[in-house]
Amino acid sequence: MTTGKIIVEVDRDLEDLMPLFWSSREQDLQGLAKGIEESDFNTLRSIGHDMKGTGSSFGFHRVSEIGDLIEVAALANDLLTIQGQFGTFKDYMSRIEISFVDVS
Amino acid sequence: MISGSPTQLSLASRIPDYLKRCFWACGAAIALSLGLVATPLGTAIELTLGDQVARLVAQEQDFSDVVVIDVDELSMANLSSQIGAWPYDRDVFALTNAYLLASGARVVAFDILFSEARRGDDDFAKTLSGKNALASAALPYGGAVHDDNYRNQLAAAAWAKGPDWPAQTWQDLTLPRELFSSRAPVGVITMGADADGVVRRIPLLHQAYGEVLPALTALVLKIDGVAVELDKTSHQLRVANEVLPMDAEGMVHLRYPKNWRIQVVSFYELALAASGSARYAKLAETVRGKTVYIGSSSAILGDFAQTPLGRLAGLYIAAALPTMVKQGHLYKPRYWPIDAALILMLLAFTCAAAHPKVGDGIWLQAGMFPVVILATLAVAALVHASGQKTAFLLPLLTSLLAQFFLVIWRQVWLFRRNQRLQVEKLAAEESNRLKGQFLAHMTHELRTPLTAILGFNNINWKSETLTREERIGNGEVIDRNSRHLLALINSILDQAKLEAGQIRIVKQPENLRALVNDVMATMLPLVSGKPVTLEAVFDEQVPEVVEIDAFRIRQILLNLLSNAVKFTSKGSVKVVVSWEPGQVSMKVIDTGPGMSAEQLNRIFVPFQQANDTDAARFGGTGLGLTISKELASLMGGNIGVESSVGVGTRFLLNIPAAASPEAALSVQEDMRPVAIGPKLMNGVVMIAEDADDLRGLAVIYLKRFGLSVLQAKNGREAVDLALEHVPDVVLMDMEMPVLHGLEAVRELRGAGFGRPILAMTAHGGEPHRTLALAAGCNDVLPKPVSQAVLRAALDSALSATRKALPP
Repeated sequence: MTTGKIIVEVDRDLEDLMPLFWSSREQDLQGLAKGIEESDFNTLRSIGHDMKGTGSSFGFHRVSEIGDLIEVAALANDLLTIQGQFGTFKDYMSRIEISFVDVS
Repeated sequence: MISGSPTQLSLASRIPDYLKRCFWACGAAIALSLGLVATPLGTAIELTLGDQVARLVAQEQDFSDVVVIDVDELSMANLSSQIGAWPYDRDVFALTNAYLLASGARVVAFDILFSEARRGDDDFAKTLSGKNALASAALPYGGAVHDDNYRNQLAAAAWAKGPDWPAQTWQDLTLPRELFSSRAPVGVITMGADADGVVRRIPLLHQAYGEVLPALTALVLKIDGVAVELDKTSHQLRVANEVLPMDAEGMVHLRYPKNWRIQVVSFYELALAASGSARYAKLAETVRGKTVYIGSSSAILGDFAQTPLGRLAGLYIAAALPTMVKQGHLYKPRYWPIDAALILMLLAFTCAAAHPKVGDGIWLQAGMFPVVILATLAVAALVHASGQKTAFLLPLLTSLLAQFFLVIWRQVWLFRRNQRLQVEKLAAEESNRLKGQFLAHMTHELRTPLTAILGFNNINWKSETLTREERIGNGEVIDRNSRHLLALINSILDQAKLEAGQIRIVKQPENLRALVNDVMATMLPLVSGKPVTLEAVFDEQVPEVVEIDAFRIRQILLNLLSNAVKFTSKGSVKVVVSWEPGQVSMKVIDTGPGMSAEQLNRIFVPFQQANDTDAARFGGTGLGLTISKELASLMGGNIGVESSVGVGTRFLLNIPAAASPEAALSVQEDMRPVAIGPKLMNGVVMIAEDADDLRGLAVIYLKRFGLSVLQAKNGREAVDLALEHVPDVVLMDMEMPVLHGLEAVRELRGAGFGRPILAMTAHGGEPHRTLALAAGCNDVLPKPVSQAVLRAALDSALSATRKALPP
């Protein structure tokens, strides 16, 4: 929804894993869209839970934060919040630019 | 981007407030005191204070080398029948002078002006010698016509010429007869007094007609053998090879003795002794080796002077002066650096005495005034006693005024603080009352759904007569109340975070129009089926990109809009976005039922909704607007509301925001992974994780640590691989397909697998941890697991494995 880029620095050693991470998030987006459409709160909770556990591990703290909110909202069957977070997640993903850096 | 800017402390901000206050108080006190001491009253008080202290620190002095011969009333009475009334013929002075010199007097000084011709002058002149000192009187007025003889006589009596000497200048001088001054030296007997008529200082040199004559004091010292010299190079007067401490007017300041012990003899006794009277023959012994001053303290002849010690005959003062000078009983005149040092020292003391740590009591602070007075006088007196004259009034006034300013300052501050504390106390009491009310309300809010849940659950559980529809209906009630309870707890947690300051505002460039449109799109499902239109209007000035915390603004907008949509049954809900430099404004306008003034007062209060029936009809926690208002405030903005019953409601959100060029949109998030130290580990670790990316990440980390890795994609594979290869440590995800992590752990433990198993779960909270530990895990690592945490956990687990293995 915005045009600004968000640069995330990622350990160069994880470069090979990035396509995998990326495709997992694409799957999350599709899963969330489907879950919202079907009001499938169990799926939504599960995706949120996975996002929470994965994002920060790769340096994408915002993904974990959004996943957390989606998981909690799904527990409360709060579709409105999930829709809002889905929009935020989509926007975030569209703006990511990865910069690989040497850490070790 | 996090708002805020680096601050640089200026020097002024590093100085403690109290020092700054002291600086201003002392500065004002010095300025005011300087003005006050310059007034006539100030000068008089300064001199009086100095005299008081001079009296206080006066010492006894030894005048045993001086004898005063006093032409007193008794002498006049006793001698009138033999030599007539005053003025006496000079033959009596010839007789007495000859007697004194013959008796061995060291100096015979006449404090009598022999300026006119009298019988016996020739005889008197014959007795005069270099051991005599004759008096000359200085006059502050001129006009007398003098012939060359006078000029020559004056020049002969003078010690030097010219205006450069530290001498007091006079209009005229009355000299003794030339007949006398040609045989004995002349000194000036006039003593200057200060403006208040008190003799505190004397000149040692006098000047008239360009000729510099000694004071009688200096002359007597010289005759007595003391080195009294005029340095023609430096134009200084040296006594006993030292330059005397003189002030700018060439005066030496006298340290008067505590009491006078000068031997006084009546002139008639001297006259009778000189005439051969056996009765007074011992007088010769009395004057031998002494400086003899002959003059009068009688009421008709003598002059009197006021001194710091009281009124004294000029004769006695004159007689004492040479001894005082010779013995160094002189003050050093006031010297401004010493006065300044004294003032600064006392101001430092004053500032210390007025410091709040000393005490805030008004009586204690008032009691400091006499302390400051005593301290000032004591210090000044000590300096005075050491022989240095100082200012008294100036340091005293300065200290007292500084003390006064500081006390007033402190009392005003205390008064204001008390007022503030009073206000804060009332506010705290009010806050306490509101908190109590809040707690009561919250308890009620939590109990209501809980009661429903427990009650309906109890019915479903225990009742055997319910139909299926009734059980489903009861279940729906339980479900609705459970969700309400969850939403309520989430909102309370949000508010608690706000109150604890745990919510951080993070601003970054965002497309404001896109954000608002996105929120509007989210609202669309809520208006479906209602004759309500949703619309967003943007002013042209609204920049494309602004720096805001989009997450929080979205939260507020969602709240305002969901309220508007919820309460509006027909018409429109509109968001109007406008911009003025530095601020974005959003109006949420609806055509709902509106609110009365009384209802408006309650809507931002926690758990208050406009209508008591609202909660029942529309749900909601009654915390949304409270949280929104606090979030807006946290961002430096505010939320206002206006409403008309039957017309609608208008919320206005103002948030400070800077316009940002689109090109500057790159935002760097500080998400750099933590570098791990170079130490390598040994061992085999199995990672069981269904998410390919997370498993891949774990493999990279584990290899980076120097470990060998086994991989399992689900719980079943994990059990099989672990039992086959017996890794040193197992990392087990808790949510996996085929076989759940917990089940896998139970199976492994059941099969006798004894190595450490570390659970990994994104579920926070103690229940999940307890479950994992109960299943047989050694530890639980909350997801996401950082490299550092993973390394530390593995280090500990591998150590445990090594200890368990036989050596």
